[in-house]
This record gives sequence, structure tokens and C-alpha cells, in this order.
Amino acid sequence: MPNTPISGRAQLVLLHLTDSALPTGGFSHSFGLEDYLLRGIVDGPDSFERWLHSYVRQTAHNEGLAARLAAQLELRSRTGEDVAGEVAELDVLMHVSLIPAQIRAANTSMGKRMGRIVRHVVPDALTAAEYISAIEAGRLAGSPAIVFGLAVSHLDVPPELVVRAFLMQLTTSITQNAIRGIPIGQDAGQRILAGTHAVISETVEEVMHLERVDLGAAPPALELAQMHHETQRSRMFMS
Amino acid sequence: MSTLALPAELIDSASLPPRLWDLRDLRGQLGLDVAVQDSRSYVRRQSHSGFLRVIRPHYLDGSGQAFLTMINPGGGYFGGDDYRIDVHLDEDASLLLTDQSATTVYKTPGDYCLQEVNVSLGAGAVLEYLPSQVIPFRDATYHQHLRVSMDPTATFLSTEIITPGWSPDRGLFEYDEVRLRSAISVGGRPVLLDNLLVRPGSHSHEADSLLFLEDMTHLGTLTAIDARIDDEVLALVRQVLAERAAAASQPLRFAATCTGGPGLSVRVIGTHTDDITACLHGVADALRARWRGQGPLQLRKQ
Repeated sequence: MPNTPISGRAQLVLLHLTDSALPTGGFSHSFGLEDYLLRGIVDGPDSFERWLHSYVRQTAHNEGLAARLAAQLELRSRTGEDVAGEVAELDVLMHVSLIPAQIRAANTSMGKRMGRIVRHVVPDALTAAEYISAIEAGRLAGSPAIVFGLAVSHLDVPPELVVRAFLMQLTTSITQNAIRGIPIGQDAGQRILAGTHAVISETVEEVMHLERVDLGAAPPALELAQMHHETQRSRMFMS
Repeated sequence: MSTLALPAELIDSASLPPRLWDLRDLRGQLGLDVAVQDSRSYVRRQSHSGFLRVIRPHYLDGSGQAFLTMINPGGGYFGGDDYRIDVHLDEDASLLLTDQSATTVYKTPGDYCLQEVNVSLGAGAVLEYLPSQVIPFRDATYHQHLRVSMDPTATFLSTEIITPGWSPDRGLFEYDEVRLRSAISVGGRPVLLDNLLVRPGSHSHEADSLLFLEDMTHLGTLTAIDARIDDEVLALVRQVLAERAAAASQPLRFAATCTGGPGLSVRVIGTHTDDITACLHGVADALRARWRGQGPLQLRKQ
């Protein structure tokens, strides 16, 4: 990425919104990982690391692309264009592309939480504020990636960095859950997280080359695990 | 081959989810407009050109449902081949649509082949779209784009199966990519975007196998949209899948979930086409019996 100066405020907002303790509710969701744990397929640091790299790569077509498209809509809205209809369309497509019911529920609940946080952190991001109001009124489904993309892009953070930051936040959140859920040691967790940096960068690169038709493309065995999680009897996570 | 023109009135494309891909010169096109007369569904109008046509309707039971079989005399799909199928069902029309044999996709180096299927369903219409498996061979890339615009009182059910082609030494061919994208709108509102992507030819596929097909090779999906789908229907579907999976020749994995629509989605992964077909057709049979009192599917394929 070229050296793009971002303001001190934008840097603080990025650090704030990517904090591993950000109360988005991510603590309660494994996004299918728990099904792999219950079947013994992910059972330690090595198998988790392999799973996590694959999981990060598939976010390109999902959260990654949604965050990029939202960031680009925000840039257009700041030139005076009315993008409300396209934000609504992105929200609906992102939501209905999540086939497993628990993943749709996770998206909505985390979208609402991210919205509440963004209202405090970037209250001047008007497109984001309108989107958050529509989520709260139940008119739109809500997606944390879209809230994040609209709000952070408002501070002149380029789309690549918006996507990179959102994917880092998502990866940290899942790693924290794996540390508790598998469990693996904190040190192993940090080593694995550091190992995802290169994977995240490759994924961001891919996100920047995708098109709208790619939104929601998902790997089938992951979706199968996310669906199968609904029928698991004892669960630590809501997805 | 020049682009084959399709009679525009067969389907109102403005009501369909947007086309986000290019449709190149068509190698085959088929348009079907099905209506009802005296409780029997019949083909009111049809158009076909190139390598796609349809065998005259059969009636497999006393329900009046038309059974149509598509045929592709072209013998397989090659790079650069695009196909388009448009199906419109009038109010209360009922159609069971299948094909004569598997869709074989040969190598498409540096290219792809694409099939676009457009569906519009009037009030009370029933479409069951149950094509045979897609068999992509080595270096094949296949994209299918299904767009459905339906009335809230209509019923839609479709299945897809991807079976990797065999090589002469009986190893599995490694196809490049299969994409099955289905966008469904009910009453003009998007309710489901199922965008499946499998890329055995990609550099990370081996590493990503836990998320793609685990240790399996074949993939099946089923989508059903009907206002009567609820948790009870989902439980029935899971029960049918468990029964069929228990009777399968080889281990397979399956799951089902409720989607918007109301609708439901099924995924099955396994190692044999027949096992996956049995699971998906078992679900279709259970829903046919529950909603319309129709007997099980008996697809007579030559």
C-alpha cells in the first residue's frame, strides 16, 4: 500500500475499534469453529492454525468485500452522492448471503453492537448513523463489516486499510474464542495470531480485486459445519 | 455463433435479481412458458435454439404436474460456451424439470463456461428443478447463475450436485473452479443469495480443505422456498437426511438450515453421486408428499 497519511484521530479510532475487548458480542460466536471442535477435527494449536488461515481467506468474499464496498460507498457519499439505496442493498445482500441461520443471527446482533459503539466513537459519520438507525428500527438487518466500513472510511482511511483493520479485528476475536474453547495457551494464541498477518494481507489484496457478483461466496464444508452447529446438543457458542 | 435472441415476453427480466455477469454469445437457449388448463400444466409457448431443447411433456401422476426433460445434443460444455434457460410458470402451474444426463464440463483453459437459469413463478406455481450432476473435468471452470423471482404463494425447489470427473487411471480429475450462484427474490424482495464456490485448482485448496470438502469429493445442495417452511419442516428434512445418510453406501455429511423466504437450504458432502442424489431426492419426496400429496420422484432418464 502506498504511504497514505491518516489523521491522528483516524489512528485512534482504528485502535479503538480493533481492540480485542471491543464489546461486539464476538465473544459468543465461533462461526462454525465449535462444530470442528466437537467433532475433534480442530483440537490444538496446529489444527486451529490451519483452520484459521482458511477461515481468514474465505472472509475475502464475505466480511472483507462488504467492508470494502461500504468504505467505497462512504467515499462517494462525501462527494454529495446519495448512496442510501446502495447501502440498503448491500445490507440485504450481505444478510441473505449468510445461509446458516445462526450466522445470520450473529451478523445482526454484532451489527447492532458495532452500531452502538460507532455512535459514540464516530458520531459525525452521517451515512453510518443513518444505517445504524435503520438497523435499530428493524428496517435493515445489520452487519458489523458495513458499519465499520462506513464509519472508518468517513475519517479518510483508505479502503485497503479499512478492510485490513476489520479482518485483524475479526481474526483476533476468533483467536480469543479458540484460546478459551479448545483451549490453547495464550502464548500459542499470540503466535498463531502473528502468523495470520501475512494471510490477512493476501486476503486484503484479493478483496480489492473482487466484484459485486463475488459477495457471499462461501466454502461448502464451512457452511455445513455452521448449519450442523444448530443441532449440537451442548454448545459454548451461539454459532 | 451469433447471439440467439430470446422472445422477451417469456420472462420479465426487470423482476429478476440483477445480472452481475456477462452473457456471451449463446451456444444454446431454451425458453419455457407453462400454464394450466383443466388442472393440467402444459407448455403454452417455448423457444429453443442451439444445443438445448426439451422433450414433450409427460405426466407421471394424477396431479397435473408437467414433467419436462431438457436435452443437450452438444455432448458437453466447453470453454466460452454460454447457455441460457428461461422458465416462466403461470399462476398455479406445476412443473418438474430435469435433464437427460449429467452436464459434462470439459477443459476450459483460460476461459470458463456459464449457464444462466432465469425463473419466474406466478401465484401458487410449483417448480421442481432437479438437474443431474455437473461433472467438471481437469482444468474446467463452470459458473451457474440461477435467478428466481417468485410470488409469495409459489413453491420453488432446486438441487445441484458436483461430481469430479474421472481420469483414465481412475484418479479424480482436479477441476479449476465451480461456482453456483443462486439469487432468489420473493415478492420483489431478495430472500436468499447462495453463492457456492469450490476451487480444487487453487493454490490454497489443499490447505483449505477443512472448509471446502473436508475428506470428501462430491457436493450436493438443495434449496426450497415455500411459505409453509418452519421448524417442523426443518426437523422433517433433517430426519429424512439422517435416514438416507444411514442407508448410503459410503459415509457422508449433511446439514440443513432455515433461510429467508421462508426457505431452507441443505448441504451434503460425500464420495458417491448416487448417495447424494438419494439424500436430496429424499428431501424433495418428503416435501412433495407433505405439501401436495404427490408420490415420490420417478425420474426416467435414458
